[in-house]
Amino acid sequence: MLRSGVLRSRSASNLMGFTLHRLKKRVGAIVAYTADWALFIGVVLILGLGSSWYMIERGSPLTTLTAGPWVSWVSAARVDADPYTRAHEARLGILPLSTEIAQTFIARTDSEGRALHSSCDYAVEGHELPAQWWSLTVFDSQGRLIPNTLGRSAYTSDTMAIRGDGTFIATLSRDAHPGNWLPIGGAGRLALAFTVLDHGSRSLTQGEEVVPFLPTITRKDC
Amino acid sequence: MLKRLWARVININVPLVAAALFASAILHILATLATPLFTPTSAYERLARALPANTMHLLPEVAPGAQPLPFLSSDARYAICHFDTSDGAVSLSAVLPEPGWMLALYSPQGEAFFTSVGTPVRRTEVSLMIVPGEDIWRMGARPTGLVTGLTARGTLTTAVTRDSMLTIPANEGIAVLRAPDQGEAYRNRTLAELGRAACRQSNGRAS
Repeated sequence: MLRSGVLRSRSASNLMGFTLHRLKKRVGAIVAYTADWALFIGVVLILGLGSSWYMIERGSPLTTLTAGPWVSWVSAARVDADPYTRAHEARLGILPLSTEIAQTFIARTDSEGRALHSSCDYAVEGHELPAQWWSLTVFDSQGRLIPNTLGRSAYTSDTMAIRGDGTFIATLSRDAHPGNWLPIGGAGRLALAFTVLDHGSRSLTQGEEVVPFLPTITRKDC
Repeated sequence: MLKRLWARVININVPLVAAALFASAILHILATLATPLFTPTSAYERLARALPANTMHLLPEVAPGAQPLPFLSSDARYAICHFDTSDGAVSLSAVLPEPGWMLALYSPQGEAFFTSVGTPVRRTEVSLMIVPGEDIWRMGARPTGLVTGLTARGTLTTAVTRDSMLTIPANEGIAVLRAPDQGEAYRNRTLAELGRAACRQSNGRAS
């Protein structure tokens, strides 16, 4: 009597163990299946959207020309522009000059790779370009001109004070400086644009012509 | 932990990984192509919407707080014409007296399909007749070169210059005349030159 009771209780416990084991297996399979799909969706979103964002925001050697801190989109505003360039222009809401006649380089860091910020002073040193019209403009990181009492945000090849040897220095600073001073007070992160316009010779089409003349950006005080 | 991770790696579901890579590529392409479509207002719309059609409009000086577009520099003054050929041809004329001056015609997609720049050797005079494509042959023009293309709306619009002809990808667009900032002393002269630029409907309905 007692023996049969023990046997019954054992078989009940075996059955429960078996059921639990099956349940555990099934739950494990569901978790693995869900994890696989979650991983799949995660990878697709991160790779697909992330790579698209990177190519639109930063560009690649296929779409941009990079020289130190300066980046230029090589087919900006062209009829044959690639989808990344078109998306980049749409995202920023800009109407750039066509690279058939001009090259616009944007720098968001100094020549050592540190982000440009209005809490620091910078010296932008360069050499005038032979027979080209050019300009240097400072914006905040969103491309807005920085309010200042002088109403000055840009120098051009006509308005920049250039030394006798053809070199120039522009100072980006909150405080007034003698010479070519661009006020940057209160702007936070900065973007510097260097634009070179062709004189009709179409020599700028390749962009590399300008690279040796791109100014260096040196951080002074912070 | 590492052992389990390694076991997971070697038991990787290869078809699922391949499918993930393929789906990522599709999503990458779709996201890139869709970005211009999902932009609330393009630069073109922001400029064209504010301007009356077929009139050259001198923009106020680009200044902080009065900047029509991001990254539009204060290194120049701008005159802009929003041209629309749906009611007939539009004539456009401008002088580019010096280096730094530029005239560009942009399509609604932001493509500069025509550009001309000032040169140091002579004053460049640009005179364009922008006509709907179906009217070009009636005008008797004999182009030296012709690029044809149909717009999304199935219309064809053509810009005629003295010696060349090109097809533009829509029947509207904007013409941007850009005059470089040469300093205070030259400001009045620059404004006078910009003021001479003209953009008008040429079939008697000048605006």
